[in-house]
Amino acid sequence: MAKILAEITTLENERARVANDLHDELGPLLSAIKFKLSSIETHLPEDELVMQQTSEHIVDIISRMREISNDLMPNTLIRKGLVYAIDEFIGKLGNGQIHGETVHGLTISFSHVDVPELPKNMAINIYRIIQEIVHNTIKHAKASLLRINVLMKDKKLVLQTEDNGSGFDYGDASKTSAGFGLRNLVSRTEIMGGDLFIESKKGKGTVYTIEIPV
Amino acid sequence: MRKSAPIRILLADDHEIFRDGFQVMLKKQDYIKLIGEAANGRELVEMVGMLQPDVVITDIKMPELDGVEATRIIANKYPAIQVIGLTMFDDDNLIIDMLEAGAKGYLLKSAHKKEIIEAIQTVYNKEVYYCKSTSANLMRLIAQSRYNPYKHEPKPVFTDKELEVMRMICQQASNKEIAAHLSLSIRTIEGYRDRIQERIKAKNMVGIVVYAIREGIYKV
Repeated sequence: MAKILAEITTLENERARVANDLHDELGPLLSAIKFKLSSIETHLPEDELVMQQTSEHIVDIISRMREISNDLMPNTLIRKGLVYAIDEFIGKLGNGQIHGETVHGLTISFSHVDVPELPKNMAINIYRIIQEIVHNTIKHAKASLLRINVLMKDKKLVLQTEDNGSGFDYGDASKTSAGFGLRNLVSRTEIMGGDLFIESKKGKGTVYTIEIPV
Repeated sequence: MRKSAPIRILLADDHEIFRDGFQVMLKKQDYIKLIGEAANGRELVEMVGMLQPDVVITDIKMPELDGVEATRIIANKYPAIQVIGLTMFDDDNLIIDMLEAGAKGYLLKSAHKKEIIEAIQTVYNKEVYYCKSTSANLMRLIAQSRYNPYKHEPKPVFTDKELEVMRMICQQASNKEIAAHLSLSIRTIEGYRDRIQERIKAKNMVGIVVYAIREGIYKV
């Protein structure tokens, strides 16, 4: 247990550090290059084209860095906490659509009641758990609806998700590639001293319930 | 012909190399003059008081005092000075905070020179500016936020055709698709688009979407 805790803490600290370096150091440097490039005036059309393409490459690098940085550690999670970060995560899944909650035919709803400000490590762990569940649902569940609820009950934070997908057999799934994700859920719940319940039957959808003492 | 005075701008960012790049980029523009640079929010607020710029361009994440707090102070104390938030990545919630604090626009640091100049001129004319590369998610968040630049404006009345064009723009339809759907020419749709933008003072598609969602023309 102590070993898992140490591993996860080191992992998250490293992620935060790399995300920060990308965001706060390399980003401004790249924009500075782009700005300086745009001040050069050339009268040769072929040079003009090279400059324009170079500038586009820089924009591509910046947007890729943004994605990497955000995957590693969402700025919103650190700055605004869990609820905002989940909202943003779900919104961004449906990239390119105003109805951001629908992705690959899956509609995701998120509701929350009285979620207090959580210690940073706990917020990160719960965020990762939700990410894992959403990704599992998209990849394996063939569901059209996923409901995510976070609420406080008897001094415990309760996270419950429910989908209407194909369901799975826990014993079978833990032996496949999905097993890694499931073990991740178990470890993250354990280090917070919480309990994880998975109710799933083939063809009957899946309910994850995670209770964490706050 | 007498040239009008340049727009005086003040830049705040904690990276010297970024400020240097910005300054080099604008050096040849004689209608925009960079009159000062601040390395954090506290310096920015002090310099705004001393220099009274027309437009402030500020990073959001900064030491001492961040861009959101600095904007709140500037918007309260010097309402005539327009603020543009600058952000490295489109951190949706940071941008919402900036707009709610009183910024009139925002830009990604990867924006092109032309867009940066357009943004400066737009807010200088007391209009709002949304960055061209705004994600769909952020458009929805802006429309649903407390930030509302339209509340004092008399509401324009739109024809059914105009409303339909606005809804289709919200669905990210191209001019060609809208034209086909309404059995009109692309040129006519472009005309509709220009007229809508002009009437709601939007500078690009983002402004139309934010307006349409906020006014309930397009339901999300």
